[in-house]
Amino acid sequence: MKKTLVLLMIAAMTFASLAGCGKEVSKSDKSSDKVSVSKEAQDSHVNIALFTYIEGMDPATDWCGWNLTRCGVGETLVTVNENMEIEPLLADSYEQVDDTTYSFHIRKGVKFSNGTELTPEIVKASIERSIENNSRGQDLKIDSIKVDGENVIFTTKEPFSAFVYNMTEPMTVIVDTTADTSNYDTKPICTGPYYVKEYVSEEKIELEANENYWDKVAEIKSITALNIDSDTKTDAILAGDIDLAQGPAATTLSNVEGNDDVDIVKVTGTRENDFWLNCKEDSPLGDVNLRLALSYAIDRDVVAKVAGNGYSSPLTTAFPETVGYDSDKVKGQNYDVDKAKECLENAGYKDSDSDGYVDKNGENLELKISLSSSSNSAVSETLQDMWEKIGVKTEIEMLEDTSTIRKNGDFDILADSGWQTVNAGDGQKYLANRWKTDSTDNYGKYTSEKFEAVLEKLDKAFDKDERIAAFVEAQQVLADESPCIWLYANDNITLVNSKKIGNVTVFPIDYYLVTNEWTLEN
Amino acid sequence: MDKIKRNRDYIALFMAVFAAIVFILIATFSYKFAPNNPLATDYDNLLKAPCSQYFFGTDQLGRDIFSRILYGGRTSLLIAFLVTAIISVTGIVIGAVSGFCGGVVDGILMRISDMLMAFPGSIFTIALVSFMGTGLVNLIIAMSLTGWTYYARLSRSMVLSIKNNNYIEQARLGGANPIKVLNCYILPVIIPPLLVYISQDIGSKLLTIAGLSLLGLGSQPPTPEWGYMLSEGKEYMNSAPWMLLFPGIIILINVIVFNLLGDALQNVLNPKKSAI
Amino acid sequence: MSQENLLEIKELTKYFKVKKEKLTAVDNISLSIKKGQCLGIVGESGCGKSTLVKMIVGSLKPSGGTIRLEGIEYLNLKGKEKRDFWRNIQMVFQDPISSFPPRMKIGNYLAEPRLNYDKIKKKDAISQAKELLEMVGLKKDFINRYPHELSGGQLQRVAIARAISVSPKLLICDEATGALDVTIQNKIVELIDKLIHKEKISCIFIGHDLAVVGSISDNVAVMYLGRIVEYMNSQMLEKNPLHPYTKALREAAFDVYCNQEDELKVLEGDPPSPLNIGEGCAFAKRCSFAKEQCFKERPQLKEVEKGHFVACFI
Repeated sequence: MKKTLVLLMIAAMTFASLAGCGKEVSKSDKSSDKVSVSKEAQDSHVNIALFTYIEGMDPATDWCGWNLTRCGVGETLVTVNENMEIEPLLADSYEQVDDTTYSFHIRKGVKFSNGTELTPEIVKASIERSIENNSRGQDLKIDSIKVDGENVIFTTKEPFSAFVYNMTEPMTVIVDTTADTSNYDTKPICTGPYYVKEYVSEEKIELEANENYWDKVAEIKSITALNIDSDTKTDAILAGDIDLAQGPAATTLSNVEGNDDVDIVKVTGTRENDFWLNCKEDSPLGDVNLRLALSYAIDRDVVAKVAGNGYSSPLTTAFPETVGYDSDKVKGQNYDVDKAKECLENAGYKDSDSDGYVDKNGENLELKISLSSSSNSAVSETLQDMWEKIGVKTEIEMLEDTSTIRKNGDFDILADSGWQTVNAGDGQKYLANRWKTDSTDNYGKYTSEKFEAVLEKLDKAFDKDERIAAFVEAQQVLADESPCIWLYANDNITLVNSKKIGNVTVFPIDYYLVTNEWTLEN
Repeated sequence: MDKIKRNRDYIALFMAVFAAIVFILIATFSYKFAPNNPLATDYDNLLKAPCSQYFFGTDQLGRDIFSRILYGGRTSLLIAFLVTAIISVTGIVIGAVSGFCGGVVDGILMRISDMLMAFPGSIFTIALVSFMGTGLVNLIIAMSLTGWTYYARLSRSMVLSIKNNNYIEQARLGGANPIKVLNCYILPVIIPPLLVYISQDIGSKLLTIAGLSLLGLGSQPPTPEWGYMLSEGKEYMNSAPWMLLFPGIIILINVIVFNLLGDALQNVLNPKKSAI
Repeated sequence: MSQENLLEIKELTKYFKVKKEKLTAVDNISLSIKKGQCLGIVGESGCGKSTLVKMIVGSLKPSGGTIRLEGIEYLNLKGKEKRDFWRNIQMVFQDPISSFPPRMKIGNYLAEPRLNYDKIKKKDAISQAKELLEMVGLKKDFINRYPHELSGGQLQRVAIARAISVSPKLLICDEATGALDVTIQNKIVELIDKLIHKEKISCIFIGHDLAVVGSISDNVAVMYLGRIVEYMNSQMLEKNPLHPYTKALREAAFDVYCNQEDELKVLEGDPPSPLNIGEGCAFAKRCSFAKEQCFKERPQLKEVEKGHFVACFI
């Protein structure tokens, strides 16, 4: 009897630890690793979790600039505020000289965190460095940069209406090019209210307040940004491991609702969620009819419910409505099973052997849904279920790492984490990056002359109404051709422990987070 | 007094075997017992609490957790049995051959076994699965590659301890060739005590499979599997705790039953060694 | 006319390495047995008789010397040839229980040798097993019993039955009666005696009881620390043992009816360690007749009368 009790206890503990096992998988940095700071500053410290934890801190590399803007370390010439308007930052004024020329006046009295003074020459060198080293550098379409007194003059290769917006993109964060740049991967020298004290790969970023800051010096003297999975952000903030979490998984928010200490600050998001389709000619999904069939078969209200648990809304276009590009004028695929079946037939698929699955030339249609093993498979399973109902067989494949199949375009259907649609405050980049022929982020290898034409139109449209009309047209082309299946848009959510941090501004664009305005409560 | 203890042991063994068989039958014939299709979604009843229609509630896609647990047993138990069978048979045979032959054969086999044992078991399994790719087949292969060494060590030491008994000599003098000695003289002696380890190992393998699926390295969705159901449930811990509770309890019960089975076997085979 | 030797052992030696020192367990022994004869080997524990037997049976490899059965150096055979050869030499061990595989029925155990060597059908083997049981005086229904259900004496009978079932040329009884009660001992010895004479099997009978060994053997060899110190036929053993050690052994055997007033003649001294016998006679230190020569020179076996060999200077 005794032995049975002991066994039961052991089994209970095993079960309990299994349940907590998932937590251990995510690399949450619990307890002990506190930064050693001065006594006064010891109290003035908070822990936070960023929207996503990107590896690397050099703006000249990939998307690492986003780490810098999120951490309040890096600053661009101009920025986008919480009302989605362009604001001067390191440039205190700018003007468009002509179709392809812009002049930015560099603010005086700005110092880098190492004390070096910001000059127009450094601005030029820094941006040239980004263009040369960053794979997306050519997106800026800059032909040449010149220094003229206190101004920096940019010339674009062709008329580019989104140029000023593009200069808010974090890859243009200004770094001190006169210092040793060899370790900028971990400790770049920038102008922001915080600087990087220590960077531990995959674990944390230690930030310290920059006493040389050109504007009001930050009240919170040190911040640790920890690498925490979206799934476990709510657990972490409830446990007190972090005091602020940007972008927790919507499905875990029920744990926090009604909690007195933790505020759920919701801002209508500008991110969308979709699944990539392989548009290459040799792929079955190269046929637009099949793509449309898959899109019609989805009940997006259900998907939004499954995915977001009340914090998501269905989406049939490339841009969510909140971005303001008149998405309601765009006709996408609403839930229509009959239409889906019709499109299937147009693509040549029929269930000729009555086994419940459509086939062509004697072979059943079988598609693979690929996703990362660390993400929630609920949406994939929902899609699988809905496609099963129109007779399309799919298999779910969870991979440790999806970057290889992404790069090579080796997939049928690929789940992706949501895309920021107004990258740099404007939607042009998002459209060009993802669906322009041969663009680096065009994983599905979609190509369309029609779409290219609209993009060109957009680039030349400097007038606001013209631009919005161009965006509508672009969305319609994409909706008609469905290179991706748009599903839902998440609210942009930040959890704040209001007992510890105050005066937090939540930006619609989630690559802004830390500001010098944060206050320490009690 | 001893006779009464003996009878108690037999009853305990009988009960444990009975429980194990019941579980295996339910898992195998899950299609008869399950009220709903484990893959059938119900979008109007997402994350519903246990009720008359859904005994254990529903998951994030509105699927019946009770039915998924029943079908999940098939996967989990089947794999646990399969893996245990593979590693015990190969391990015992390799260990017996190694111990019996000695010399170079023993040296080679044991060095291979040592190499594999040098890696901490679960981590090696995880690494193998990550390398080979997910899926149940790869899971079985990965667990089998590392699991046999345990049995090889056990079996070898048992063989070494009986190798010099006179009846092995007699077997040789009686004309038995080495294969026959292994089959008729050595294996029948070492297998019964090893059965204890085997039945306890089933429980342990169940846990490993659940753990690996929890990490996303085992069975793929939408196949119901207890460990994966736990990993799905942890996100909804506050809003739908039944998603964690029931798969967890089921894993618990199964592991306990197989451990008790091993225990009961131990008592019956070695009455002197049994606890009070 | 002397018959051909069935078993010939020539200069057989076995030594072990014990922490860089050499332990000589069997020291240059030569023996022979003719067909149908029984050779007894007597000696204390540690005299090397078990080692000797293990070499004959192929469990241990000799360090030197040869063993021939019917002229064949069988230890050099390989593979199937070697395996098939073992039917010619069978053994009965001292401890009956350990000779039986615990989970094998008596019947199957008995049937094994015939099945393996002669490849007869299982049915036939089992019925023959029943006859064998009868032959050694056990009930036929023991076929289905397990070893732990039989007594020591019964098990030895089964062991003997199995040994002779394949008509071996040589039967070795290694302390076959040592673990049994005295009353049973005699019965077993009688059984062995009867069977080897009936089936004309040569025998090596090992024991430490002179009387028992003498009763069954034609010739007796006395071993001390790996060497043969005396070799004679069994009548001479009773009437005229010559070597001091043999004499001491004989006197150490109590007779129930002996004079209880007589002084116990105890061997003085300790036996030397087999690692370090030294140059002289191995027994010299304990010998009451020892001369100076005994400590310096090692005595060789000399024939003192016909068929009687002694290794002593007396």
